[in-house]
Amino acid sequence: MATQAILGLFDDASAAADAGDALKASGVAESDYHFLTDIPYPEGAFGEPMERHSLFVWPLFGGALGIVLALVVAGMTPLAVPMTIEPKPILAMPPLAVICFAGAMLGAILFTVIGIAMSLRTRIASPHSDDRIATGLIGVLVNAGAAQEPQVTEILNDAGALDVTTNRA
Amino acid sequence: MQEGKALPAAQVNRDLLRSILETPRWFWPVVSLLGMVVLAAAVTIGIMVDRGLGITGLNYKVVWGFFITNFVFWIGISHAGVMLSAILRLAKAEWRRPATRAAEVLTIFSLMTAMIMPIIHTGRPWRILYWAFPYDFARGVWPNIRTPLVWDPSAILTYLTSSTLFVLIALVPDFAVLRDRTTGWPKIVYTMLAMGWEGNPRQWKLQIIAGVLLSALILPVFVSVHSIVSWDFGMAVAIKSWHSTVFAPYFVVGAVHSGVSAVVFAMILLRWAYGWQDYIRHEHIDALGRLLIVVATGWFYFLVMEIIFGIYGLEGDELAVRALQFLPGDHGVAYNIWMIVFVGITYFLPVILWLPKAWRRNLWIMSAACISVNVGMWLERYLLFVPGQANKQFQTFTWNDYLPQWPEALIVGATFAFVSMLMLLFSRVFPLVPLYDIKEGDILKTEMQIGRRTVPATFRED
Repeated sequence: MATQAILGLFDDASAAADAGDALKASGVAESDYHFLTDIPYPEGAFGEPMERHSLFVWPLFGGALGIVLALVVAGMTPLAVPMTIEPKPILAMPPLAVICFAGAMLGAILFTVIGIAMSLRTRIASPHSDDRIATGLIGVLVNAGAAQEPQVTEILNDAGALDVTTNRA
Repeated sequence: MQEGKALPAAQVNRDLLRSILETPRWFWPVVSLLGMVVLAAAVTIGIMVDRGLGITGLNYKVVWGFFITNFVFWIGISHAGVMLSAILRLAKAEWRRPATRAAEVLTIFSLMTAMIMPIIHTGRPWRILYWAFPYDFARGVWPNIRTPLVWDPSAILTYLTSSTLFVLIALVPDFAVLRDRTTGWPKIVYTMLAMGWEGNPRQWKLQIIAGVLLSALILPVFVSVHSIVSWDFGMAVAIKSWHSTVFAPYFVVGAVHSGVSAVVFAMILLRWAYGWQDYIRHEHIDALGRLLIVVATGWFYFLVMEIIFGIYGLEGDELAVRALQFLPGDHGVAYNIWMIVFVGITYFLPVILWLPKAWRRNLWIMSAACISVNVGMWLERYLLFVPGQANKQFQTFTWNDYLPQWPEALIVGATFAFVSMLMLLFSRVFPLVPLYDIKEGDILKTEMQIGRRTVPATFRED
């Protein structure tokens, strides 16, 4: 069944939240509608469920990987080709710590960014949007089947949408 | 700290995207002029590579001159980005909003410029790879990880990578705005960079958490980078006067001092060039001025301690260098005069200019103070590195002083043109003031009645 992306534009956060409530009451699944804004609103401002994420795991994993790789590079090099400078040990801890620190931080930051890209569900294609959202309007984007389009449009209009547009996939 | 009126989002977009969607008449002539200076420096580097470092003023014993001074200077400037962006973001300081992006971008371009310096300083830049990678397997020459000269590239590359990713992640919502306002190939590029951003609550939540996470992760890197740069000197066995234990914090605080001053000056220039009076306001410059008084005083403390610690040990070599720095003598360069100039223009003059509120809000005075700090901080590095090497030591068979020649002067001068050019080109394709940050700040603005006064306030969610 072909899906429609129906976008209602609101100038008031409460009206957008009311539209969300009405959509939910009419049987539209919470995963089928989103609120689009040009600034971060407080979580739950539109009555949407709290988002869960696992972003904190990524830097931990990246940091651990970075330390291991740095240890291999900075530890194996002097062991493989010892450069004797008396009385300094071949495998000195302070330099190892410095290199491992840089490796851990680089790993943590790289994996944080990878985690963000994965969690954002990155895609190249432009989403159904409207440049009026960047001027402060709030978008309620509903993915609905063709049969639901009139009902969704009516709900959005009843909630006070300034404009409703449909993008047929 | 909530002066100025809240502006409609449409006007914020129009004003802050003007540098991208329209080209001011001055833009290309200025970029071309800067480009010519950079080109002249590139040709000079070519000549230097061809003829060798003999055309510079470097000699035995002063082997680290203008290039290494300039390297440390630009690494220092790069510390402004994290200082302003990460710390103020974590502290939720409202006045950070217009300053963060310019500071982060200045970090990236300063680091790139700084990294050029040691590369050309080697004389044979193609051999730079052997610094970090095995020279060649047959000869069995491997990088020595016990030297800070190997820690340095690892720390700086980590910082550069982190800063670039930090800026890119923060830019994603603004890429989406540009995606919806451009056509043709720019739209294709912005669409790819926006990574499907639509501004739903999940994306915003991740964006905010990413900002906090990356800020927290990048802060230790920021401290480590200039600490390691200081160890390039502190761990050099041959130069006695560089063995100070306060070098690491001294360098870090000095870097913040020069970096934040550079950001203030860059913000004043951007405000003037793009007409961003409603966004980069006097209150922001005022706040940065107050911050700079604290940072400058912290730096001055370390400067004094570094000198006192040096003299307190009463070691002959150390005392000889201090004499060279502070006392008049028969050597070619009057270091003592330069020391007075440097301390005056790096601390006393700017702090006096920053003390009265009215002067902190005067953009001409602030510009003069910030330029003064940066000239002084450049001199600081020069006066820290060169006298230590020029000092006569036991069994030294040549006792040369250091007089920089035209190639060094031209290349060092051109680095300022290079960074300015890169900043201008960046502003042509990406917003230098974050759109959503400004709009969010405007939305959160309010006023509170306290007794008989109405005061500006900000709503904030923790």
